[in-house]
Amino acid sequence: MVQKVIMDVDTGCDDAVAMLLAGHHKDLELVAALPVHGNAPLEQTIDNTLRLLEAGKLAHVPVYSGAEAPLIGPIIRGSGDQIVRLPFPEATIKPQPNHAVNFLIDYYMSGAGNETVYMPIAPLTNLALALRIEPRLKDRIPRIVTMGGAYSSNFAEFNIAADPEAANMVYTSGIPITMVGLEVTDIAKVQQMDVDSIRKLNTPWAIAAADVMDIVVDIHVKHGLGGAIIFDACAVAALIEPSVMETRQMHIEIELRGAATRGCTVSDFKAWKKLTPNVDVGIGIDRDRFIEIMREGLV
Amino acid sequence: MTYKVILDVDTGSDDAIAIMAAALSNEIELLGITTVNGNRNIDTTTDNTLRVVSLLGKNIPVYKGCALPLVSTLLKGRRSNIPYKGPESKEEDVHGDHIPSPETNMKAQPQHAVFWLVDTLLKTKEKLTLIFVGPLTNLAMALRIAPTIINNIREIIIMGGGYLVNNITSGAEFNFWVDPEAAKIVMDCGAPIRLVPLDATHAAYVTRAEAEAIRQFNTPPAILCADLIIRRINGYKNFQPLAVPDAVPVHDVLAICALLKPEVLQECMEVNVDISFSPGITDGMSLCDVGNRNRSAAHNAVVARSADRELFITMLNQLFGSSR
Repeated sequence: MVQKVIMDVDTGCDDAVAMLLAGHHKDLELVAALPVHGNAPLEQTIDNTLRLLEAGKLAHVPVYSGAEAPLIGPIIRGSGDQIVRLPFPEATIKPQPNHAVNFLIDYYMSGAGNETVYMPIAPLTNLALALRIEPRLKDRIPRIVTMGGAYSSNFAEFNIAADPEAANMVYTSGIPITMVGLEVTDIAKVQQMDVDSIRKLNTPWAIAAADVMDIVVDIHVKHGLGGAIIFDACAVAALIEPSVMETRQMHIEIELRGAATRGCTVSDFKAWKKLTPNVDVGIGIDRDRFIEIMREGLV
Repeated sequence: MTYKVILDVDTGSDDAIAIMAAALSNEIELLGITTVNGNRNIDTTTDNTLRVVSLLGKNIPVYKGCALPLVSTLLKGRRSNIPYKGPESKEEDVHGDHIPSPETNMKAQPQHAVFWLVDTLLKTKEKLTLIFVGPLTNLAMALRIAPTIINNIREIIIMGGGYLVNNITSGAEFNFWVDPEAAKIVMDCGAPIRLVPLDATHAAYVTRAEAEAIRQFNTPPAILCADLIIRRINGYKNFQPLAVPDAVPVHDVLAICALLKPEVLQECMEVNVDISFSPGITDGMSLCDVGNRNRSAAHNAVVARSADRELFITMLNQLFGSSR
């Protein structure tokens, strides 16, 4: 069965790889891409999304522009590979006239999305706005698989920190959530030889993915990370093949206040408080299998 | 001159009077009414709004809006009675659950208020006037979805906030307190704003005798207006008695009058108005920077500190005495 997925993105190098994988893997169907504010301003995440989809032969995927600011802010931005203009020609495709929030409500309330996973790999503003307008969405979105958060960190991960109130609304909505956080993405490092092996697949989308990952490898290795972290692609891999990621049910709350902790995914991961688990949290990933999934998807 | 107006309400006794005043004015073309959670939950404020529109016998579309504030209910215990679950005590209930007007078959439009606001403001050929007399959730949501709507707003008149007068807490007025983050987004949106705070509405109190005089026009709106004011007088007596006996502010309708005759607002000052959404006793407070202490903050509103009560009462009589 082909799994349908809608991706909420702030493209972004890793978002680009994630969309290429979701758009070309035989087990997934990329229904729509919803660019939102995030690492870069909305104008750039839209532009990058359009360039990527066209260069990656995914021009048929409709793009709906989303929110340009978090619910209440303040606006924070990413850096490094997260804010580069993707190395693809200016796109000829355009976003749809509808707003991403309209699209989410129309699509899921029509019943068309009863089996469509919603995958935000960006700040959660679009879905939060949609939930405020149409609270019944919580019963229509079957599942969320998201890149964001970090269950064992005292500092907030970017996607949550960039709109903690939106994340709070989504995490308390009752929609089943699989969270792919920094603990997972950090151990799924992609090396130059992995990128080269993907490039050798020689499809336009494999080459596009390799072009993007070359940039990330360069930046992340210079930062001393010992490899490229392609955060968002891990979430796609976990959707394609759930067994690639080990998960544990945990209780997660989104911190809204806090002088140093606003946007933290506060977790009872040691289960000391015996709080009722509400999120299926990734705690490990088979790195080699992750690379293999990318190779299988990008042929 | 005719103003094209969108009215946003959380009906509510004073909202009902504002709706009637707007609909009865021949200078206002009411494009639609949007409803929001506030004085009562969204289903009740929408039902009450439809009852009032139905009583008026006018074909004014009503759009149901947001059921919850933007984010103020996310922190546990911060807004425990929002959405409204019941009065602290019956004697202090100035609104009642339902407007004392017959039930109606009239229905709200299928489109959500936020989307209707966005569509209407993006498509309009002339700038529109927005009068918002409830929590500012719908407009904040619309601004988050389509920031460019401010280009088509002529003016926003807001009943909300307090300069020296407050009601729900010692520091905050109810509409701003329900959704302080929305108030902050709207106050800083860049569109021209006139703020009608409690200082102005309390100066424009209405007495029992004046309400009874309006009743004498003997039309359904005039009778409902009088009934609602009398109910408010009885509620305020126990809740927050005014210095003048047997009198009550009718907040929201002053925002309608401010559009028709700007001079009904008095002691106006152009300042920066900031909204506190910190935890603690200032949550929801509107701060008027009269001393320009925050020099980097632009003047974002004209705030009325008082009102011409005599003119206000004359206007109420003209509006409810008209046969329109």
